[in-house]
Amino acid sequence: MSDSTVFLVDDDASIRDALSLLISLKGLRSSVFASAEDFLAVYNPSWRGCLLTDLKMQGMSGLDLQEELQQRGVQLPVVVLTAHGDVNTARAALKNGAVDFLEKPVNDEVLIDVLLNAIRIDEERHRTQTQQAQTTARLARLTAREREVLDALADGLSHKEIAEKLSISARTVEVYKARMMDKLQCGTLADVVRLAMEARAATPERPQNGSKVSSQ
Amino acid sequence: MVAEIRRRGRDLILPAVVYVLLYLALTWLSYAQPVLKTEITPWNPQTGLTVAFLLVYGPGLWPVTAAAAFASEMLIPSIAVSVPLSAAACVWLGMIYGMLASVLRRLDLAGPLLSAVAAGRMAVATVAAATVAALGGVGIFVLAGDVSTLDALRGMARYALADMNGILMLTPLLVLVGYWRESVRVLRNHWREAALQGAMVLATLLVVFYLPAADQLRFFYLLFVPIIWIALSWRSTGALFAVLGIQVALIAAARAGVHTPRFLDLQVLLLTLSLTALLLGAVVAERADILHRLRERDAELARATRFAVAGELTSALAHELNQPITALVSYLRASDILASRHANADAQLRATLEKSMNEALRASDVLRKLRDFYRGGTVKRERIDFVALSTRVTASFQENLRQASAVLVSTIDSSIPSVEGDATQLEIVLHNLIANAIDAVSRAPSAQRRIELHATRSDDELILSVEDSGPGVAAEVSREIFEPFVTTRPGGMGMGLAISRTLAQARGGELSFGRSSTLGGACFKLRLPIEAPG
Repeated sequence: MSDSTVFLVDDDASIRDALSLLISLKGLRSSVFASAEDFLAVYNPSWRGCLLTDLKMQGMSGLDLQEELQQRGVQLPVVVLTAHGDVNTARAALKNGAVDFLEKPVNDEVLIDVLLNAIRIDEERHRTQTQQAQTTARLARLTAREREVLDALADGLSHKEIAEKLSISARTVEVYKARMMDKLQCGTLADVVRLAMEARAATPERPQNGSKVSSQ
Repeated sequence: MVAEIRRRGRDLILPAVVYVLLYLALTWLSYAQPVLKTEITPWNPQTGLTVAFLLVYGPGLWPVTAAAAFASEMLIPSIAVSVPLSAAACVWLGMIYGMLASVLRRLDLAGPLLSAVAAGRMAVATVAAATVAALGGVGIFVLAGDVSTLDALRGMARYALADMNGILMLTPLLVLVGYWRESVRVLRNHWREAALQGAMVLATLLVVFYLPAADQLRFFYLLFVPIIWIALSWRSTGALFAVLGIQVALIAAARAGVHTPRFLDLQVLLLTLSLTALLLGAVVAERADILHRLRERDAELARATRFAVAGELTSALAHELNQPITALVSYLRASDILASRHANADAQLRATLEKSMNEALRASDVLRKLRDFYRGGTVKRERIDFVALSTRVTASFQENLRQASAVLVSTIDSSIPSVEGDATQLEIVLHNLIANAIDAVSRAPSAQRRIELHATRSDDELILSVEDSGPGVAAEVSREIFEPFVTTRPGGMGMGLAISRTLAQARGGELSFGRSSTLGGACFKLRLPIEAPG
């Protein structure tokens, strides 16, 4: 949580000031922006945390900002602030993928709860992404043959079946497997299979390499 | 069930007895008075009474009326005829007028006549029934050889006209006898006018009767003046009452020995007067009813618009005030946290901060309630005939369009089904869009002032667009055109589009705008689900 920040976008200076004070007193870091445009101008993909934005603003509205972020592929969790009774806009925001919405004036405990939850979502997402990147990097080190062996293992084939399929000896399969496990830094077959599954889940549309005909 | 029928039967005994007695009295008055010759009475009031009785108590009671007619024949014989013939004629009359009553009831003419069509139907049905009744009534005597053919024809005409007079003059009055209290109350409030009208009828009658009999008929048309006046101010009821007065005056004059015109002439005159009273009165009633409904519609529209504007104002106010309150609540909460950090935190200070925060929250709550009051609870759900509604709204702009020398063309898909929602709210939206379009085209050269209204159906949505040839939406307001207080019209309040969009959204629809590709000006598009959501 150390580098997570609440990015607060509101066109009302007093609300920016008051909410950021409250957020910081509750132990969270905050960064304020007077408009959606200001935020977008300086946004950096390395930013962690969540976005807390007002919906009704001069210029770009909160919904506009949400859409723009989605188009840019930014996955920062969004919490929206609504004026009371504005159910329709709140619903639209949730439909657009907002994590939650808060009614003004906000109860500080609810505010912190919601923000912490949003930050947790961001961290989880970040962790998954890091893991996936690592997996991809490790898989990239495999040779085509090693990759084929990995895919076949993930499909549940026995060493003998793999040898037949790849027209190599069972002994050679053992060698490939040992090398592959070494490169992937996996101690057990279970770890290898999990990694292969993760890699597939991360890139489902990626064509299977090697001579293996996809079951699809 | 049986008890019910028995109870109803008992309830009918008194009216039937009263009816028969009245019938006999009227016949006696018309025929048996020695000073009155048979010809003097150009009407059959007892027929009017008969039809009214059947209308009020049910056409099924026609045998009672036949019996009354037969009793009067027996007690007060006008022509010497045989008993079976007389009985046959009475049954015939009873049946015909029973049928008339049932037709009038089915046509919903048993109460006040509120339209020209109703009065016309009443007149036609009466004329037809009286003719058929006379044909049969007199025909029976001809068949029996009691009367010569020429006499029969003359008698038939007299008889038919007398019946028509009796029905048209008396029946509409008699079926409304129950409302006499209201009539008296209204009369008391306008007694000067009524007295003046009565005096005018009387004066006209005096003038007419003062003349020799030959000239009387030439001046009888003067009677139309007071009758028309009375019909205009009192509708059919008052005018028929005046005709009744004229009838009574005629009898009185005959009694006093004044020479009066020929029987048939009098009959036709009275019939014309009755018809005039009936039709004119009905037209006046119809017009008053339409005016009343229009005024109510306007009032309803104005009320709903006021409410929507108040809602929009409140909403804007609530939003603006809620911002500083939000900041205030957060500052107070922050202050409380800061205060709590000191080891020797002042309990009183913290309590005070807490109270301040609660007050700020209360203010916000008041705003919320105010806003909710104008938001909820006012949306009606009804089936709206959109085609009729848009026709009505565009019709109400004819005068404005003419003044702006603008042309409004509407193309409305007649297959649009009825839409669920609040008709008044939909009318407000359409009204605002057209009013804005007229305002916009007024800024264009007069040759190109054109507005197009399109309504189509797309799946489960109604799509309505209002396009104009005006200058389009100014760039500086295009972002916030649906916000309250945003207007380009000098003196405009900037509420029309704001409330229109709020109303559309409250109903699950959307109001958007763009540029009209065909006319070059603005194009406002309303999308509305045909079935209301939720």
